[in-house]
Amino acid sequence: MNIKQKKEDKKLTLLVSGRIDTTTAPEFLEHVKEAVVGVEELVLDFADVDYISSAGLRVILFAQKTMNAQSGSMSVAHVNNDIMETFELTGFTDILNII
Amino acid sequence: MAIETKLTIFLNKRKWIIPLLFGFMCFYLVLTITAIEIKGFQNLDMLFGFSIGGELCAIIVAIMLTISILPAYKRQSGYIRIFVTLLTIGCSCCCMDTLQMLVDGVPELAALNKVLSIFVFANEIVFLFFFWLFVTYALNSEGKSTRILTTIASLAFLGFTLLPFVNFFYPIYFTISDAGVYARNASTWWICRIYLVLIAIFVIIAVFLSKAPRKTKIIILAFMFLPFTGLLIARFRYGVSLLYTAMMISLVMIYSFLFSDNEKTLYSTNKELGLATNIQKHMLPSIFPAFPGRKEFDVYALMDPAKEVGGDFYDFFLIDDTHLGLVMADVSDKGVPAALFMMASKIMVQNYALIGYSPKEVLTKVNKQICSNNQDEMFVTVWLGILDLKTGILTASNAGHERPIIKRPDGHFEVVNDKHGFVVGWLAESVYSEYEIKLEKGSKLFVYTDGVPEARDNNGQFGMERTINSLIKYEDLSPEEICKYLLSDVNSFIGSNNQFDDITMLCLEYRGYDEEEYHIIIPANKNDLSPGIQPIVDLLERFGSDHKIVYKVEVAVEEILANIASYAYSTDDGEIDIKYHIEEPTRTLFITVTDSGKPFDPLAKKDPDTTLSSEERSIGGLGIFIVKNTMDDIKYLRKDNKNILIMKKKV
Repeated sequence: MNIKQKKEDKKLTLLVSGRIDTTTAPEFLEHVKEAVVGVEELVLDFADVDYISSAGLRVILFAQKTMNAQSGSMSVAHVNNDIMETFELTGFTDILNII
Repeated sequence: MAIETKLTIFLNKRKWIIPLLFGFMCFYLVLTITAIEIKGFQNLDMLFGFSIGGELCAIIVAIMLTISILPAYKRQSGYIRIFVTLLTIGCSCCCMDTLQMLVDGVPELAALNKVLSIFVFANEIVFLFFFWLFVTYALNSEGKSTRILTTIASLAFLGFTLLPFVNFFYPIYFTISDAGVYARNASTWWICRIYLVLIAIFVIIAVFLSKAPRKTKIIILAFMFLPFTGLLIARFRYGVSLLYTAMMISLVMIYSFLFSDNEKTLYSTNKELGLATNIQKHMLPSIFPAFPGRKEFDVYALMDPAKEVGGDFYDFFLIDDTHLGLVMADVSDKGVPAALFMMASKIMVQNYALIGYSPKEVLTKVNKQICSNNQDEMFVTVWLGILDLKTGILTASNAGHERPIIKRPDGHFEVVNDKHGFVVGWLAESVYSEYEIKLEKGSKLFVYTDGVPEARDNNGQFGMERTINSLIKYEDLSPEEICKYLLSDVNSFIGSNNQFDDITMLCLEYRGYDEEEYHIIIPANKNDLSPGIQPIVDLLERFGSDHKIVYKVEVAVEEILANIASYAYSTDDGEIDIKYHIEEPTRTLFITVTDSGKPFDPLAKKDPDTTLSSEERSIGGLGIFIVKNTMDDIKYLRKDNKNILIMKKKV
């Protein structure tokens, strides 16, 4: 997994690539924790993410909760079909703003 | 061999016969039209003009009829070829007769007139002889009397064909005056009609002796009298040459009344034969790779059927997870009965083998069962081998079949001199023995039917030596390549000759059983679970599962392993034991995950509510939920102080 970030004013885009699994999720979590401070609009760009397991879902849920707490907004972009199915199965499609 | 049989075989063997005859007919048509063009109708006796018109018509009808029966010709039926030959000879009669009438009375062409007249007389005899053969064919007469009649007709045929040539020296049939005018020799010309009468009498006899349907008999007799009517007219008036036209018309009538019916029956029979071939083909496993999930062996087989429905078959099937059944067999006969026999044998062999009998027991039982009810005197040669995929030990039994050929990892393909039992299906008391061959990792086994070594070219058989040499040439290749390349060697040897037997072969490569392949033990370490996941993903990809399924299984396995790594052990040295395999027939993946950690049933945990809002949802609990919704079945056991989780998924 690799994360690049792009910050424009109060908008933060995290370009994640690779696998978000049990092994890599903690790193993702740390990154999110540090990066979202003071952010009003968070975009998780998943264009290059090809795998996600529940460990990754947990980080996404954590990010969503954090953004809710800071009265910001969050969206997940460019989700591939495999990951979309996982989102649907777990009800994430209802709580996330997927674009 | 009887002359008509020889002739039929000759005609049937040569594919180019019909196109050639057709070419001749067209040639006659062109020749006749050209001759008429050159000569013109002026200065021609009206009666001549009438006869020529009739004959030209007959040639055109013959050509059209040949075109219309071309589809039937493709189905190789014998009488069609005789019939087309007959039409061609008829065309030749008509053409020569027309030419003769055209040159008649031209003094410069007196010599040509003579030659043409002689050919007309000879041609007529050939036509009659073929007409006789055609009638015996149509009536399906094969008795002794028919044979005698055919012999007489053949001898008389030789005599009467040569007789017109006497006219070169003595005017036995006709004279040509200096003015180039043809005139019959009144006292002896009738001799030429003897053969016609003879054949007519023969046909009548044959019709009465024949057991053919009454309709066939009536049609043949009725239309045979047409030429006689033509003759009768010509008897009184030379110049009205209606014989050949009448002969052609009657022929066309006989065909259209008689054989269009036959064609229909033939068509439906051929359709049934086609169905039988199809069913037979689909009974043989033919999707390759056959066991993509198995690394310990690779098997490939093919059957290249001869034109008819044959009786060869091969088979391979997993008896259980570690035993592979291999069959190569050849039924003695051909055609639909052999195909049915083959199917029955195939099912019996497979069923007994699946029950768990050893090869000799299988053959003994199948033999008894077939013998108890085999009135057709058919038999089948069978080689049956059961390979223990763990040990590489091949147990085999041979009932009169070709010897297997084996390649050891460090050697070349060699014939195994195995002990042969008697063929299956003839003697209920037959006893079969079995033998064992240990296949080392890298060994190859090749079994085949006699169609391989006995494939023929003009000079002889492909033979065992060529077979072995080809196999050795390709021995380092995959089973599929070995079979395909050997087949192409056999085919190029046969060349343009007809393949007269099925060519069937099966090749197996034993790659050795690797226990570790399907059993992994990994440390229960969240930082790197992929050694426990990747082999399963690889297996599924090799097996050819859909990407979506592979992805879901990958997530599910990770969730399970992550769950154990997180909760089962309190120390760092815990291990996770993973066993997995695919059950081929049902395409089901089985995964068994075992850990020695504290008792923990992941299935007992309540599912998270996936309808809650993000605020209300707790982080966690999703992993097992995903697994439950991905796998088809999950069971948890606590046994010997271990947590065992068994998962199933159709892949």
